Amino acid sequence: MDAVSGERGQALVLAVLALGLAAATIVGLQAAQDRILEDVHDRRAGEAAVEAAGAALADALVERAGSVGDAFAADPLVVERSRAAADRLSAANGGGPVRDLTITVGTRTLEVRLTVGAHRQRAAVGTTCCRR
Amino acid sequence: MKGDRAQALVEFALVLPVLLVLALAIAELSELGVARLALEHAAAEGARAGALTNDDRLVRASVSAAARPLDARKVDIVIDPPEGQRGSDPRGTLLLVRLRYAIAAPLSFIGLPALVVSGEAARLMEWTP
Repeated sequence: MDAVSGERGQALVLAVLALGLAAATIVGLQAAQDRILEDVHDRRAGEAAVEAAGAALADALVERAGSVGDAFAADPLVVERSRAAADRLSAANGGGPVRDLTITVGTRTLEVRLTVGAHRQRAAVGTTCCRR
Repeated sequence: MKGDRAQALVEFALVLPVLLVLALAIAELSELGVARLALEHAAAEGARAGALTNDDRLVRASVSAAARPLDARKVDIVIDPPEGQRGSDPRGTLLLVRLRYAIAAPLSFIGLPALVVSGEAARLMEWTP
């Protein structure tokens, strides 16, 4: 084999390298998109879930029409109602299960916090607005 | 020596179409990603507007406003249940907004079908009469 005939196929080798690079780019791009979309899904699901939990709290507040204290926030029925609403909405939006749902009482608000995926969400319900 | 002339040119010509198709695929994939994100965002905004207002016109307007950079006129919107079927007090009803958007394939002139992207969001109705 002389030096000249040894150059055959060089462009082909480069082209194959370029093809490999392009294929890796496509696969990587697709994987990155899927990860980003999954994160967006979780964020949206968390937003919908925390709003549903807040609405369930407001409904419970209207039904009680009484004092809003720590006992209300710790009432298992109230907590479960909020959790059920949050779980339903998270699932309906393609999110994962709701974790770490907490209800706290502020001076004029009830605050609900929960986590879906990697995102912590928070919603507040004004307690003066919802009493009958 | 003579047989090696234009060797690289021939090899490059053989591989060029494949490279071009891959480059188009990368561009198309990026466009699909943008469309998927935009539709997810638009569906969430539409569902939220519907949950707060119980007005399908506002749902469609919210979707159209949030669907940019997509062509809002080409976004197919399905609201489930539609306004007429939600009853007089829909609070607590699950409202679904489903969106579909067709993107023309880069080689559509050879008969490739359009790529359809979809997005969906759900909210509980909060509106009370």
